[in-house]
Amino acid sequence: MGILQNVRGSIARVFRGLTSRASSVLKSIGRSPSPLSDRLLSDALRLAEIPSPTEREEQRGAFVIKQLGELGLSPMVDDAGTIVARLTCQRPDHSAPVLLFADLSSNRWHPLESLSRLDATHAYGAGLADALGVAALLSIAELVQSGQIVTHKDIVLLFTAGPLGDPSSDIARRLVEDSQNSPGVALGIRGTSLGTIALRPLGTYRIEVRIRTDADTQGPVAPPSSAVEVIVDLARALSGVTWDAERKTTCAIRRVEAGTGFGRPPTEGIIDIELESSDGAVLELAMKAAIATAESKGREAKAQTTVTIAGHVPVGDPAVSAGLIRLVMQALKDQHLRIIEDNSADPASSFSSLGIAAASIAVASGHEGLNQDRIEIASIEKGRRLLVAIIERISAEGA
Amino acid sequence: MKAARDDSLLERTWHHSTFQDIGRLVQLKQRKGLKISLAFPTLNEEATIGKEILVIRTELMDRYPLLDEIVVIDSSSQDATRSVALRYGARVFESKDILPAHGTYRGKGENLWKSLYALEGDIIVWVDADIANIAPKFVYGLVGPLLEHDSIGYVKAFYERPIRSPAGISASGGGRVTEILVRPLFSLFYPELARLIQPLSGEYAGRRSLLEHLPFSVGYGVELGHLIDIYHQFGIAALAQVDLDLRVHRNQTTEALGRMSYGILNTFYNRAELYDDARLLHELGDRHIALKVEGSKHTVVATEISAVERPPMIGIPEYLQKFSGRTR
Repeated sequence: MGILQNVRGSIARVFRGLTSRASSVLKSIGRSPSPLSDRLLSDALRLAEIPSPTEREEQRGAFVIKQLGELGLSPMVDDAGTIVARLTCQRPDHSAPVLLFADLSSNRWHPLESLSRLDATHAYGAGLADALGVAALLSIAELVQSGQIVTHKDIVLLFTAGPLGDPSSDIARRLVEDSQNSPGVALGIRGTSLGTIALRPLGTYRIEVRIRTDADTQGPVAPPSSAVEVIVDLARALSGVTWDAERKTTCAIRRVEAGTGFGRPPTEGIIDIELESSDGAVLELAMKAAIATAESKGREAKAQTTVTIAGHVPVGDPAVSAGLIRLVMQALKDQHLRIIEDNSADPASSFSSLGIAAASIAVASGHEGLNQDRIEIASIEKGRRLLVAIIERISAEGA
Repeated sequence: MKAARDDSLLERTWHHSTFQDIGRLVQLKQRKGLKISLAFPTLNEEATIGKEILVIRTELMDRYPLLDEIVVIDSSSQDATRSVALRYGARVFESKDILPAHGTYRGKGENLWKSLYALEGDIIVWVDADIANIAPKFVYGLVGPLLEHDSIGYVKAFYERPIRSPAGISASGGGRVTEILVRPLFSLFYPELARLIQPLSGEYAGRRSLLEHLPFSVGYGVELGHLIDIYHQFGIAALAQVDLDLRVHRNQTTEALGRMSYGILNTFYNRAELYDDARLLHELGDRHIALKVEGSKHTVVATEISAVERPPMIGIPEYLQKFSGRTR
C-alpha cells in the first residue's frame, strides 16, 4: 500500500480554504498571553489520555484529524493510520517542502496515570512526553494557517502510527520517493529533552528474544530448563562480544524478565537487546550474530526461541545533515538553550540515510519516567519558539 | 398513588455530540446576545483544577469564544487550589469574600449561590473540580441545549462513572446514592424526575433568569433541591439532560455517602413540606449518626451536617442592584 500513491489524487484538497469554523479558530489566536504553548500543552494532555499503542492509532488519529480539520486542512490517512497534511505557504519559492514528523503512539499509556495533572510549574502524566511532539505539529499548523509564520516553503506534517523505526514501516522511503511531497529537509519532533541533538546519530537494531522451555509437551518427561538460566546465559554471551576493533558497536540489554515467582518453575523469559553502531555494515553483522547467538542458546537448552526485530533505525549520515545540524545549533544558541550532544539513535536517520537532511529536536524539558513523565511547563514555550525559529531559518536560508 | 406519566424528559435527552459544532454554538450565542460563565466550586482541588481550567480555556475561550469567563469559587482551600487556578487563567474568589454581609457557610451549594452574584453570564455552567478526564464536551454539551432551545432552562449531565482507586478503574459502581436513595424517592413523589439519569451529577447549566429564583441548600442537597424547585416553579419542560460519556473522579467512601444521603434527605423533606407534597409529624434529628467499631464495642459518631438554605438570589438587595439592568 503506498499511502501517497493512494492519496495523491486528493492532494489538491489539502488546502481547501478556511471554513467559517476555521476562521473563528484562527481569529481567536492571540487572546491569551501565550495561547499557542497553552494550547500545545492542552492538546498534549488530551492526546495522552487516549489509549495507545494500538495498531493504527485510530483514536489519536481522529483527534489530530479533527484539529487539522478545524484549521481548514484535509489531511490524508493511509491504511496504516499514517496522517499527512500539507501546509501551503503564501510566498512559495517552489523548492522541496519541509517535513515535520512525530509519532502518535506511546508505549507508556496507562488508564489512570495518563489522566495527567498540572501544578503551577509542571505537568505530570504517563506517556505525556510522547504526546508533545504531535501537539507541537498541531501548533505549527495553527501558526501557518493563521499567517503567523510566513514561510517560502510548504510544510508537510507527518503523523506516524508507530515509531518510524518500525521494521514493517517504509514510510520514509515512500515519502522520499513521492514526487510531490518529497522533502528537502526532515525534522523530527519529540517531547523531551530540549536542547539535545544528535550530531552523528548511531544506527540501532532492537531485538526481542522470547524463550519458552516447556513448549515440547510431547517429548520425554524431564524437567524443563530454567528460562532464567537461558536468558542470563544469552545476556552474558552477548555482553562479552567485541563487535569491531574500533569499538563503534555496542550491545545493551534493555530488559530482562524471566520466571513467574516463588514456587513455580521459570519456563518463560524475555530479553530486549539493543545494538548500536556508527557503522552500518557492522551493525548488520552484529544483528545477524546476535540473532544467531540467541537461537543457538535456545537450541542448547531445548527451548522454543522466538526472535523479533522490534525496531531498526539506520546509521545517520552526518554529511547529508551537516547544514541542518548547524542551523539547528545556531537556533538553539539564539534561543539561549544549552546544547547537549547525544548521539544515540535518531528516527530522523531514516531520512538522512536516504539522502535527506534530517535531525530531531525536543520541545520541552522534563523527565520521562516508567510510570509518569514530569514536564516543565515553562519550557514548552521555549521549545515552541525554537521550532518556529528553525522553520523560519530553513525557509530563509535553506539547509 | 401517583402514576408515572410524563416521559417528556427522555425526549430532551441528548448525547453531547449533538452539540459538538462549537462554531455554531458561538454563532447562536452571539445572535442571542448572551454571555456565558463557567464556575468551578472548589475545596482543596489542586490536583485537578489546573488541567480543567487549561483545557476548557484554551478550547472554549481562546479558540472558540463560547465562554466569557471562567471563575473559581473557593471554600478557603488549604492547598494550592487558588494559586494553580490563577496560574491557568481563571478569576478566583474566596466564597467568604462574596456578599460578606450575608455571612458564609461551608459547602458546595454556598459556593454556587454566591457565584450567581460574582458571575456576569446570562447562562451559568457549573462543573465540579475533581474531574480527571476533563474535556470541552463537559461544557459545550451542557450549554448546547440552552442555546438551541429557548424553552429549556436547566440542563443536567449524565455519564458513566467508573470507580477510580489505586488498583485501577472499575467499569461501574458510581451513582450509588442516586440508585439507592434518590431514584426511589423520585419514583414515590416526583415520577417525572425519576427520568433523570443522574439527578445528582455535579455538572449542570442554567439560565440566570431561572437560577435566581431558586433557593440553594448550602450542602449536599443543592442538586436535589434545584430539581424539585424547578419542577414546581417552572415545570418538567424546563429540564433537559446530556450524555457526557465518561467521568473519572475520586470515589467516595460508604461513610461519606451516608453523610451525603443524610444531607439530601434533609433537603428532600424540606422541599416536600414546602410544596405540600408531604408532612412531617415531628422534628427531624439534627445529627447524622454513624457507628464506629472499637474493639468489641460500637460507638456513635454524630456529625452535624448543614441544612442551611440560602434564599433565592433575586431577593438579595446587592444582587438586585448589580443586575438591575438585566431583562428577566
